[in-house]
Amino acid sequence: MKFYIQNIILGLPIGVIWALLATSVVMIYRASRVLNLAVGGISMISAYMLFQMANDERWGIPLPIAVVLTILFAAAIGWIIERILLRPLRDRPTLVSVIMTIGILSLTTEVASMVWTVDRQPAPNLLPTGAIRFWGIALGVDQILTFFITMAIVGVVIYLFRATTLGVAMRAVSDDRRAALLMGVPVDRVSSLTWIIGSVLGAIAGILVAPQVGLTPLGMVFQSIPALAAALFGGLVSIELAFGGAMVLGVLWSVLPGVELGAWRLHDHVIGVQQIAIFALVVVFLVVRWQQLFGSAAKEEEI
Amino acid sequence: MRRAGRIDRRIVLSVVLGLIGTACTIQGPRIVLEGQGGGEGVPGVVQTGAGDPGQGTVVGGTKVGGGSVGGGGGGGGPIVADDSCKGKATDVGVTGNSIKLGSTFAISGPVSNISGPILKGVQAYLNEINATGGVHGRKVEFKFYDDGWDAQRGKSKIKQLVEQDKVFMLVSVPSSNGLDAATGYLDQKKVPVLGTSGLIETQFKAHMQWPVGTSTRSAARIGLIDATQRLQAKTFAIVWLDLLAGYEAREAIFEAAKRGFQGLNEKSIVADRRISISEPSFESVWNDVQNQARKNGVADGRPDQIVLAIDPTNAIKAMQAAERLGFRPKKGWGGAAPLFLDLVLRDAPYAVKTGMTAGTAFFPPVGQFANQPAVKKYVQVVRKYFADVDLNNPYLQGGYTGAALAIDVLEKVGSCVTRERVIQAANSLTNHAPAGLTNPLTFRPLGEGPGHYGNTYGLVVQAVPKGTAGCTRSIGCWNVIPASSSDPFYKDPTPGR
Repeated sequence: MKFYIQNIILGLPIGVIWALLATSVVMIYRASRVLNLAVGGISMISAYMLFQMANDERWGIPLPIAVVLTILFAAAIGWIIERILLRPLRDRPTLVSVIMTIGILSLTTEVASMVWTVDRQPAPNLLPTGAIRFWGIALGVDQILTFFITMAIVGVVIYLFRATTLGVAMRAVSDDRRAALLMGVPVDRVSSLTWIIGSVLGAIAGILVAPQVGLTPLGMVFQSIPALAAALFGGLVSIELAFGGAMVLGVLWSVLPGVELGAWRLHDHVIGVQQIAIFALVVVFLVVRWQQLFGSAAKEEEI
Repeated sequence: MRRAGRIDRRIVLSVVLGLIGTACTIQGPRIVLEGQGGGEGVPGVVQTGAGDPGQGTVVGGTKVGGGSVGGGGGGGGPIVADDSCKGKATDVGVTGNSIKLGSTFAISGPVSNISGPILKGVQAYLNEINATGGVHGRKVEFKFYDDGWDAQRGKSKIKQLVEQDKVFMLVSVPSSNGLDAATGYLDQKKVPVLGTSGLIETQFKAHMQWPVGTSTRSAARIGLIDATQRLQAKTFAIVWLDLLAGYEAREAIFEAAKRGFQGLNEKSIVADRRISISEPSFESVWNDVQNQARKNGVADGRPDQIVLAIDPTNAIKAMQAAERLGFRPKKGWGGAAPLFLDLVLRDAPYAVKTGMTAGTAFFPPVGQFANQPAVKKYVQVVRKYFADVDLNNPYLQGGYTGAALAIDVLEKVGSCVTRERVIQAANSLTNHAPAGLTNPLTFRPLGEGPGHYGNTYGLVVQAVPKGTAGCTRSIGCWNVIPASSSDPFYKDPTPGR
């Protein structure tokens, strides 16, 4: 039992990685109804920009300034995506915009491979790298801090949607753009802001997570796939449920390989048990219908 | 509007599910661990060919000193160089002044960082060949495609090379997913593929493939020899990447233990843990390994050796997590060939601190090998074209040596180059060391003598800190462990019977 509890605890830092990315996905979907499949690419390219700016053998900019510049870079990326790539597609089916985000993902991956090669690069670590050891396990200080930062970000985004004029405007634009326009909502500016904030969230995820998962062109992209699954737990609109879903998936990823049923070890008999579990769980969740499970809370979020 | 929103969401959900499903298919031991990155231009050469990213033709102007070409003999029969065809077209892809070679690389895709340097190794060698006059007066044209490590795309690109681009033969082809899928086709068409990596077992059993590297199974057993003889290790854990090469390494170790290889037995493997290419964290992996080890009689959860049959990015994460935990095997970490990189020393200081070992099938510019003329030549040639590569990288050396094998066979055939004569020459190579970077290789037709198991040799290298054995670099160095060996059971997945 101790082993399972240990692995549940060790699964939380994994869930946090996915929760950060899922928050960005949900944020953009909720405000624009576009599923941002490029979230991994935006995170990755932002992490590379920080590396480029802060690394002593590159531009050597002091880390705090480099972080600010990276955030501005991500904001610019978000603005460019919305203004240049997605706005012309606004009157087309949403799927067209989704496919555009796949193109952005591919583009960012290729650009990163060309500029920084496919080899792992040393991502600057903003957080302390020590470890806290307890009960036979160890958690990195950076992992623990990332957990609390993620919680704070989730809180801020929820507050943004629920209690700010911008949040109300974002929801209005996503529900009915024409009606919002008639009501005097600056639709274009709100759309741009949505993508800017979403991209900044992705950049924060990339900056915090890259030292943990490794800064390679595909590293963050791989992590964005379970993050998308986590976002589905929230029906793509509930940030709380996406966060919870990411935590559940992280724990499953950590626990499942060690599960033993008598002499029968899951790891030995089910190839890709973790990936299968994620897929199966999402399918089951959708079949059962998350609205029925979480009822009114989810419905409120959707409106 | 509401209905439209629901439809949109259904579409979106379908896309996400599709992606997750696709991600699931990335895992699993059916996938082959190999690939290639690169695609950038090479200084001093002409690049032609357009339309397909990563595609290029190298035409340039030489010859790199290599090992001596041994005598003939064996089932393939000796081949006598025939120089009566100078200036003439002799076969598909061979004109009077050029010979067209082809390859596919996984320049994009999940393993592009593992085998990225192979392309550079091939390009460096072929460019140097052209720079020194070509092969029997013919310049080498090198055409390659990126197949993204996709088996069907790889097969299709190989067909394109053979049927549309009309290449004479293939070289290296590190994108082994596609090569594996195209094996039957290449056998049927009798198109030789010289200098493959040997990372997966099927390459040694294909009539038209001549691997230059040691098989993954053999490399795993050579690692076991080092661990049992030098370190006196008796208990092992294996952490392996969920791709075919990782699976083969794991299988070789289990079979070796089962058959009593080096005094091991089935209880010697106390922990067995698969990881994904996108493993987000290793804390739970180490917890699982310790838990298994305790259950299998290792009271403190620390096996004598932990074998890491994984890629460098995951290995670095693994080392960082182990350092956080203060966890290490009693006698050492045993790494696979992909870990023999400066990158590992730089980003995983714990590997240096704990003396991780890795393997290679080639003579690296390290220790006693650094002053060998062939190794010096290798360094000089690669540096000439690629200034910033890690010269120890076994994949870079594999690409370079694979290209050398192809050129050496062409040299041996003479100017009357035909596929049939190349096959005969390759199958009769005896005690030949391409580019001087390997122990002598001997090939024979499948079913005779060593067959295509040309290289059965392996070196073990160890990470050492600054100040050890003349190491002056702050990140540490790799040192060659003198007692390296060849695998006596290279053909046999179940040694010791």
